[in-house]
Formats: sequence, structure tokens, C-alpha cells
Amino acid sequence: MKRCQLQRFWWSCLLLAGCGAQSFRPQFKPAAAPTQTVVLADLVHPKPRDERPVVVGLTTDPMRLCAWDLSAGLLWERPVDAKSAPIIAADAVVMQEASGVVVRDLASGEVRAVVDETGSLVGADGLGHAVVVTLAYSTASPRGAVAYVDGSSVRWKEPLNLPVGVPAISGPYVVVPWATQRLTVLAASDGHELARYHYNSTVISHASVDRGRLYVGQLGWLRLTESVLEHPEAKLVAYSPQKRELPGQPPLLRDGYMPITDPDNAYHRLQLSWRIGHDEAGATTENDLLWLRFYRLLFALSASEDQIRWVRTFDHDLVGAAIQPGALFVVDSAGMLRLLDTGGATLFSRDLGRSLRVVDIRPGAWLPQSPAAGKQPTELPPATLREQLNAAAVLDDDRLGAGRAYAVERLATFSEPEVTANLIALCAARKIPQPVQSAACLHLGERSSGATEVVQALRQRASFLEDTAAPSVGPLAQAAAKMQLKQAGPLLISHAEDPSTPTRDLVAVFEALEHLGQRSAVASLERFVRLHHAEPQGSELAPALLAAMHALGALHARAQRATLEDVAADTLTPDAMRDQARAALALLDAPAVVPKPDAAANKADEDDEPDEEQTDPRPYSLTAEVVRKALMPLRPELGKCVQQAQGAGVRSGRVSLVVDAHGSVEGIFVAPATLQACVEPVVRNAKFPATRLGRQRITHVFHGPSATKASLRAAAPGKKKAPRAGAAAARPVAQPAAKH
Amino acid sequence: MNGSWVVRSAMFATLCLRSHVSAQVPAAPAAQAAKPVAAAAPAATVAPAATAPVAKPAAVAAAAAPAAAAAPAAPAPVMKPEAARAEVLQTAKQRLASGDDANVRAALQTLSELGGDPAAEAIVARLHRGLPPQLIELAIDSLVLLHRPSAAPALLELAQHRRAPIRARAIGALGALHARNAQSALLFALDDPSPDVRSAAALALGAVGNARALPALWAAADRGVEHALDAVASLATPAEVKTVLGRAHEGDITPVKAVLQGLMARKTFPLDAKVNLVRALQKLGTPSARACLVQWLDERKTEGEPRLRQALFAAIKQIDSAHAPIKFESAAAPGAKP
Repeated sequence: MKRCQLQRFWWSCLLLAGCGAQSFRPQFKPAAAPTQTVVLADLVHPKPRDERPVVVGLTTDPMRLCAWDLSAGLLWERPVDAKSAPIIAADAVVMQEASGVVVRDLASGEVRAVVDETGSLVGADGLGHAVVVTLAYSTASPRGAVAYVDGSSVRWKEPLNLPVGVPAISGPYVVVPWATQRLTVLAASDGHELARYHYNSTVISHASVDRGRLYVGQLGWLRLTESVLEHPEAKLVAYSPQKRELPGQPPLLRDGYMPITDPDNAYHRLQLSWRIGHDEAGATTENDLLWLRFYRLLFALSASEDQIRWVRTFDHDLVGAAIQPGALFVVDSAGMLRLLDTGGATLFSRDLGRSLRVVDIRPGAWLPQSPAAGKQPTELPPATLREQLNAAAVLDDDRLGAGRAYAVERLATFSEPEVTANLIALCAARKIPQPVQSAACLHLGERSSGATEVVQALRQRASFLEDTAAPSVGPLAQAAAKMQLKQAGPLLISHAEDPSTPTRDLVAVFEALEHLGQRSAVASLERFVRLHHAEPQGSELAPALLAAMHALGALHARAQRATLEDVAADTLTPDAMRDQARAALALLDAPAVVPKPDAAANKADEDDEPDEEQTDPRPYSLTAEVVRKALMPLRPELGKCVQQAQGAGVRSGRVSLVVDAHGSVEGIFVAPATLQACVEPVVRNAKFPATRLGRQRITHVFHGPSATKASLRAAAPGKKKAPRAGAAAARPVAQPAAKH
Repeated sequence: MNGSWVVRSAMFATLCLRSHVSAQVPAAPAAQAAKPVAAAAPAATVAPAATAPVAKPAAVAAAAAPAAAAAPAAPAPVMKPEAARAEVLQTAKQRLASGDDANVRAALQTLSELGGDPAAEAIVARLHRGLPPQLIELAIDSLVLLHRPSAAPALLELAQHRRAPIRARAIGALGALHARNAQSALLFALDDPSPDVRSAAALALGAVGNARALPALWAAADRGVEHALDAVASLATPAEVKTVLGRAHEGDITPVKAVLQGLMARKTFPLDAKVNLVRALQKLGTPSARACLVQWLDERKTEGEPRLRQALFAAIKQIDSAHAPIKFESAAAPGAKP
């Protein structure tokens, strides 16, 4: 009864499939005798193949096709005009050449057959002396074809007016996916169709035989079993490793309906490789690893989770790979064959002696003689994944932009302060692909560790004369805000006033100053708003202006009310700026929110630069304490300067000094500028100790004798006790101007 | 207050003032004087012909001409110069404070013609409140015309503007005004990311700097900053000559030729130092040094210090005799004249 039902079902399937395909007018011959049971049994249990371990590759100029036996060396070398990468199929090599799709003998390199002169090679498989080749045509009819080559002759060739995918030979049958969801079983002997299946629930473009199992698939591998063949209408789920976003977006399997690309196509150097395996629980990924080749980078990815196991960098592009249990063969464009273990170490390498465009590797069951038996790896990746990722991120090759950016993203998941330093360097690098820099800057702004590194980076300054570049002020400001780095405040003010700071970074700087409650930034913010508020509509400064005005309001800079009122009333100012000024005025009078000191802030405040051990008696740099001590005698005179200018509403000033390595003042810049004449002669006499660092830029804030307790408290947030009235209150900060 | 009334009264006062205060107003450059005074035109309808000054700008005079024909027989009331000036100033300040681009432009024009500290202070005060970029540049130009040291703080502040053209203009103005205490700001500007600002800073340092700026200027020259060598030439003392020549690579003075030229042309550079410089070049005795000496001698053929000419001549002669070509008798063509 059951057998009878099954037979009826198969007849129905064939009938339906035939009717369904009628609309596409396939040109396969009608299915022959009902031999499904026989077909099924032979089809799903192909014998494991015993294949010669070979590498076939196309050399660079002059273009030659070469074959190596992994255990013996170079087999042969033939000049070719290749139009596709080669495919090893049983004892043959199939390749698109100028003369057509050619089958060559693997042992000699001689041409065995020219399958087709007009079609493009889509896929090939072989068993013994038989090779099946699928083709695609650019014509409307036929769209594809399947050809069977036995020895040196084409035994049969079946055209189809629908696309055909990558075929496989399983015993006496040829399995051909076609028209996205269909699978046909052809008799190898004459090409007549024995069975046809229509899988509505999945896409199939590849058929493959691996270690005695037959698979089909496109988005993953589906093992063909009796059950799968008997119930094609059932919802089938192909096995695939975990999907994830990868650089270059390589597919799990290439589109099996597309012709093989030309040998120089980047596709061959940017591939995701994996091999299906099987254990007691069912389908698995061999070694539980996906291998992402990205030119000179090789990422080993966990198959079951979105994790990187290790990364290796190479001197040359990887142009081919083949997966073995516990190992991976790779060949680079310089012709170096390597066997890597699952930890990334090179167990074995051999120079093939040719520069290569692309290779196909079929190691079979071959492994070098006891590669792991007491033999040390010849090459090792860096010790930790963090170091490996950083090595990949800094690899100087513009083609690697997306791959390096991927490494940066993964690097940023590490919380070590060293990673912050790595990201700072990448974000500030001058010549670096844009995706890498963007990723580094983005993640730098999100860091919550590496306070010392951030402050150290902020101490750097752009100098044309010294040929030093500006640090990435914007992301550093964001990081400083996130870490609540109070000591970064004065440095940020200095950068805000530096014309070398890109305008796009100013928003982050002003927001950070606001977030840090940096009241000493008020004068700088006010000056910025006052000088630039009348910028025309659409000015690149507009976002920074909005941020600066918001900061003034949020910092309750009541002394700057007049400026904000001026801006709000100025008809030369764009409406958006005037509205923001009004909003800032409203904020001025809102009750202050005292920021809750958190653990990170406390830690950051406690962070002092450890002085390195060395014999040179000179201090490394001018620290805040040293600057304060040097300027202490000048405080009364500086206070007088402020006092003289109080008529103009000046209550404090800031002096920027460039101090050379010997401690002499080289340059003085005073804000507000009205104090320049008074302050410069005073500060000119200041003497600082010589330092090992060299030229440094110092910012020093001073107040007048009539500074109120409130204003002094405002200038020194967090300190309850204000300096004695009548003395200039100073808050110095030192940063290197540039190293000599 | 009606706007046209403001314009008319301002121009009336301006024209009244011309005859009385023209001597006090700093002479504007010819190009400036030739510019049409936009605000002056409507005022001409009420301006008394009798008050049209001889030295007023051509446009104003032209605008006033038809008014002369229509002038009433009765003489217009003559205002006291100080009062008229104060009224012009007041009106200009009002227009400067207005939120109208044209009014601000006209006020800047008026104030730059009016001259004096109050005019400069009015512009400085307006700059302090902030202006659109194009008006800032105009205001800086006005301050340069007014040539008042009180403008320096405002210019120092503008030297930190985000727009490089404004920074360059402010730096240039500091140099033009010979602003004291500007050297530090100019040294900072020498390190500016904009080449225009660096160049303006080098020029300004040449005008207002002192010898302390020389190391930075040398560094700037090494980095290719335009005018840096000119500034070095302007500031170098006789003691610097050794440093200058020390930068001549293997006796080739080409890299520092601009400095040497500047020193030689500088009137404030002592004659003794110039003579020493000539002797130093003679000691070098290289082709580039000789070419430089020849050029200097050529420039001083008819004028210049005889002692310097003499030194130049002697130096060239000395170099030539030291490097006289060796005569090869055998190489001479038969029958050639000695």
C-alpha cells in the first residue's frame, strides 16, 4: 500500500514538474522510465573519490597554465589564452579559453576536447575519465547546456533554454541544478533525463559530491537524501554557517548560474571558503571555521558565531584555498603554497616557483608527511587576536580598505587601553583608506578606556613648521567626554582655538566641553560665537555655532548674556542662529544640574602620568605643577592686567605660550587680545625648566583681583575653596607644541 | 526714524565737513578716493554748493555738481566742524549698528573717510560684536585706512577667525598698522595651516618683527613659506650675515640670494656690514657668489656708495684673478692673436 502510494506520488511529481516546466519550455527530453527508486539509491550514496593531489594555476606574464602534483612537483606548463579560472575535474582541467571551453588532460596538459566555442564555462565536475561541463550562453535560446565528455570526446550535449548551474557526477548519473529551483538527474551514458525535482522552498545552483555525500544548494548546502528527493515539496532548510556582514560581502557560495570570472578578477582574491562536514549531530562546518580571503588578509571566522578566531597578513595576495580537516591550503600570488593549521600557524610551505593569477587546489586526502609530528610551525601569527587585528588594520595597502575597516571594528571590541592607542593612531593617520579611518574614528569616540592615551593625544598639536599633524580632535573629544576626563578640558579649549582643528571637529569639542562642565571654556565659546555668529546661511560653521551657543547656555555662562542677546537681536545673523541664541538664553537661567561624579571620572582625575625611569635630570615635559610654580611670581602682575581691563568687562585671561626645550618663552598669545600689550611683557620674563620633550605649548588661565568667589569657583569646578581674592588664580595646562 | 532722512543728513554733514576736516582725515589711497561713495549721491540734492570741497572724491564732486545749479540763493547754515564731525560719527555709528548690509558698508566707508580714533573705535566696537565675513574684510580695510593703533586688539582677535582669508587680512593689517605687540600673534600665524596666512604673517613680521622672529622665519623659509626670506632680510642684523651665508650649501648662495639682495637693498643695513657682506661673498668665490656681486655692481653703476662700489669691484676682480683660466699654448690655433 505504502509502496503504491509512493509510486503514485512520484508519477504525480513528474507530471507536475513536467507541466510546471512547460511554461519555460525546457528542452530536456521527457523523463524516461520510472527508475526513481534505483536512481535514488545510487544517487545519494556516491563512492568516495580517490583523487590525485594537485594544484592547477595560471601564471602571470606570460600567461601559462601549470599543474603541480603536491607530492611530486611541477607536472607540466602550457601557454594558454585563458578567459576564466581553471577547474580541476577528475583527471582533467576545464577552462574557458580563447578557443572555447576546453578540457585538458590533468596528467599532460594536452587538450582532450573543446566542448563549446561560444558558451561560457559555468561549472564542471568529473569522475574517472568522465567530465561534465555546464555552459551559459548570452543568447535567448538556448540559455544553457550540459555536456558530457568521456575521454577525448563529447559523448552528449543537452541544450536548455533556461540557465543551468554547477553540475556533479554521482555514480552513473549527472545531477544538474537549473532554473533556480529545479534539479534534474541525467543518465551519464546518454544524457536522457531520469528524474526531475522542483524545490519550492530553497534555491539551488550548485551540486557537489564531497566525501561520499551529494549536496545541492546556493544559500547553504542541502544533503540529498532519499527523504529530500522523495519530498521535494517539503520545507527544506539548507545548512549554512552563521551569516554575518563581511567586507566585500562575499557569498557563502558563488552564484552557480554565473560564468566563471576571468583570471584577474578580484573575485578570486576576495572569497569566503568553507567546507561542509558531518558529525553525529548532522551537518557541520569543517573545522568550525570560515576562511575569508581578502587579498593579503586571511580571517579565520567561527562558523557557529560571529567571532574572529585569528587573522593573518601575507606579503602577497592569496589566490586560492582548499580546506582539509584540521588545516587549510593557501597559495599566494608569488607562488608560495602553505598549509595552515586551525590556529593560523604555517605547518608546511613550498615555493611553486611561479607568480600566479589564480589557482584551483585539490589536495584530496594528501597531507605533507607528519606536519605536526614534532615539527615546529615555520610561521606564526602575532600572539594575541588584538595584535593580529591591529597588524591587519595597519597593513599599508589601499585595496584592503574594507578588510582593514573590518579588522578595526573587531579591534574596537577589546577594552584594553592599548586599543585606544591603536585607534588614535589609525584615526589620525594621514594616508589611510577612508573606510579604515572612519571606522577607527567612530570607535575611538566610543572608547571608555585609555584615558592617558586620550590626554596624551590631545597634547599633540598641528604645526606646519614642524610638519606635525593635528590629532583627531573630534573623536578624542567624544572619548574624553565619555570618560569624563576633566584634565582634557583645557586641551580641548586650546584645540578649539587652533585654526588647524577641522571645522567638523568643533561640534564634538564644544559638546565635550559642555559635557565636562568646563566653565573655563566660556570665554573661548563666547568669542567663537561673537566672531562667527553672522556667518551666512549654510555656512560650514553653523553646526559648531549651534553647539557653542548651547554649551554657553548649559554652562550657565551668565557673563556672556550680552553676547547671546546681541546674537538673538542681530538681523545680520541667520534665523537658526538667533533661535539658538534665544534657547541658550533660556538655558542660562535654568537651574544648574550638578553632574554626578562617577567612577570613571574619579579614576580619570586620579590618573597621573607616570614619569618614566631615566637618568636625564630634566623633566620629561612641563607639567601643570611646574607651570604653576614658574608663573607663581607673575600672578600679581597678571592680576593687575585683568584689573586694568575690567572696564571692558574682562574678568579673566588666558595666555598661550610656546616654550622651547631650554625653557625660554618663544611665543605669547593672549586672549582676550586687549590684554596682549599688558600681559606679554610680564610673561616674557617667565623662566621654565628645560625639558626632554622639546617645544611645548602651554595654556594658562588667570583672573583679576576682583574676581568673585563665584567666578573663581566657576573657573575651577569641583574645588570648594576659591583662591584668595586679590591674587590671580591660575589654572595651567601644558601640551607639547611639537617635538624637535 | 526715516532711513532716507538718515542718509540725507549723514551726507549733508559729510559734505559740510569736507571743507573743514579734510586736512585732518588721513589721505586715502587713490583707489579708495576714486570709489563712488554710495551714500553720498542722495545727499547731493540738499548739499550746498558752496561747501563742496576741492579735495573731495570725484564721485562726490560729480554728484554735487547738479545740486549746485539747484542751490537756493540763501546760504545754507554752516555747522561748526566739530559738531558736524560728531554728527557724522553719530550717524555712521547708528548705521553701523543697523542690521542692514548696505548701511554697514556705507558707514564703514564714511568712517574710513572721517578718520580719527573715534571712527576706528566705532569700527572696532562693531567688529567686536561680530559681522558677516564680507563685512569683516571691509572693516579690516577701513581700519587699515584709518591707521590707528587702537585697532590692534580687534585685529589680533580676528587673527584667530576660522576663515583663513579673514585671518590673512587681519595679519596683513597688523603689519600695515605696525602694531606693537603683534609679533607673538604673527609668529603663531607663521604656523597657520593656510599658506595665505603664513605668507601674510611673514610679510607682517618683516614690517613689525624683530630679531627674535628670525629662527621661526628661517624655519618658515625652509618649509617654503612665501616672503619668509624677505622678512629675514628685513630683520637680520649684521651679526646674522654669518648665519645667512652658513645656509649656502657648498658655497652656492642661491637659496639665500633673496636675503642677501634684501640686505644689500636695505637702507637701514649699515654700510660697513654691506662691505663685509661683499667680502664674505668674495671669500666664497663661487660662481653664484660672483654672479651676485656682478649684479650688485651693475645695479650701482651710476649711484650708490662709492665705497661699496669699490668693494664690489675689488671682490669681483679678486674672484676672477683667483680663478683665471689656465692658458694652454699648445691648444691655441696657429696664427691666432694672443
